[in-house]
Amino acid sequence: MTIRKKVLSSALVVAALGSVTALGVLGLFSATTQNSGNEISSGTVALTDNDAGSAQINTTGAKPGDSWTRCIKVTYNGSLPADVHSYTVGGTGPLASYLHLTLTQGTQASPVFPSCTGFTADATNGTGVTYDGPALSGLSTDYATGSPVLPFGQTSWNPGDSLVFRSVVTLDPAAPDVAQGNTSGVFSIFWEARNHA
Amino acid sequence: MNSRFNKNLVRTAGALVGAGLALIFLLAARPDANSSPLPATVRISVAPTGELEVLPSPPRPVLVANALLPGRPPAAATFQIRNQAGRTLAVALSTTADSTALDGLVRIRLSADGHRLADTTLQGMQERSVDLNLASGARTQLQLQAWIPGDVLTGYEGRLVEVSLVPAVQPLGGRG
Repeated sequence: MTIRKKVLSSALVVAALGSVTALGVLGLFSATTQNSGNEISSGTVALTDNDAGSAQINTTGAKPGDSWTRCIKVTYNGSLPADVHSYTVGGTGPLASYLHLTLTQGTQASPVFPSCTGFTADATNGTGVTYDGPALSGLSTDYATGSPVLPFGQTSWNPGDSLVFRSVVTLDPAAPDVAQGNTSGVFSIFWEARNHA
Repeated sequence: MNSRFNKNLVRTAGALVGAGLALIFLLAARPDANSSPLPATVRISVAPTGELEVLPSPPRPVLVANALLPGRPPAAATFQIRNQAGRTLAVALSTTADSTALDGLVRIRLSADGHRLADTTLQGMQERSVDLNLASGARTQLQLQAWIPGDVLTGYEGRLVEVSLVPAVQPLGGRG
């Protein structure tokens, strides 16, 4: 074997061994881990009543001392625990200031809007009365200032909770003559639910 | 010679015993061909609305059919709806499901006070609503059945579908 061949053979052996070594040096182990299946779904806040679009009170020819008793069932169908506040909107007519409202909360065995047959007040505030005062001017007009209402003994409204609200509206027996031929103006009673922050 | 023959004999016998044991273990580990398939589950709820009182009250489901297998007797339940509004209501019950997995496989039968309102597949229930009228204060008892017909071979195993009956109410005319 000539020297040239010996050198070439040696170089070949060194190159082969170097390649194998390089593979070992440059080869990388790897491993991964993951956290799968992430998803966020929102809950719901939903409040319904049994009025089917009908007003509780829509009357003409009212006279001093007249009184109207009406009940409405409010049901919470959301999935998140919530607070409910009640308030009124509208009712700015001249007769509004002569109307008195007593609002009582409770239960009713077989409610049929707007009848109060079978209504039973709960023990909230001792008698179930949550408001007793001027029908429109005394009540607040938005959620922030509205009256909180809660099922008796609870700290929030939970799915399926319901309350029946009995409204007794009275036209002041001492309403003056200037109240004649007037209107309260159209007003709405709101119950608004918001989930706990 | 004799010793070599004996050694080979023992080796062959050992190999045969090993192969036999392996075969026994394999056969023992084989899944039972006659085991029952996983049943399907259908959970049916009624979406709440203020005008209708539903018993059992939502969110409790009115029917939980958790052992549905082809040819088995229907899972059945009754529930009540009552018009607590002050007017007669036209009620249209539409159906939604969170999966199409059992659409053509499960049949649903819905009756009101013995009168059949629907007898169709789960898919059929979703394609058209069930209509009924309820006078103010009136209640009706609804019977609900769900089953998988005997001619269904596969596709239902272990499936779970949440079904919601969604009432849309429309006041009709005057009170009562």
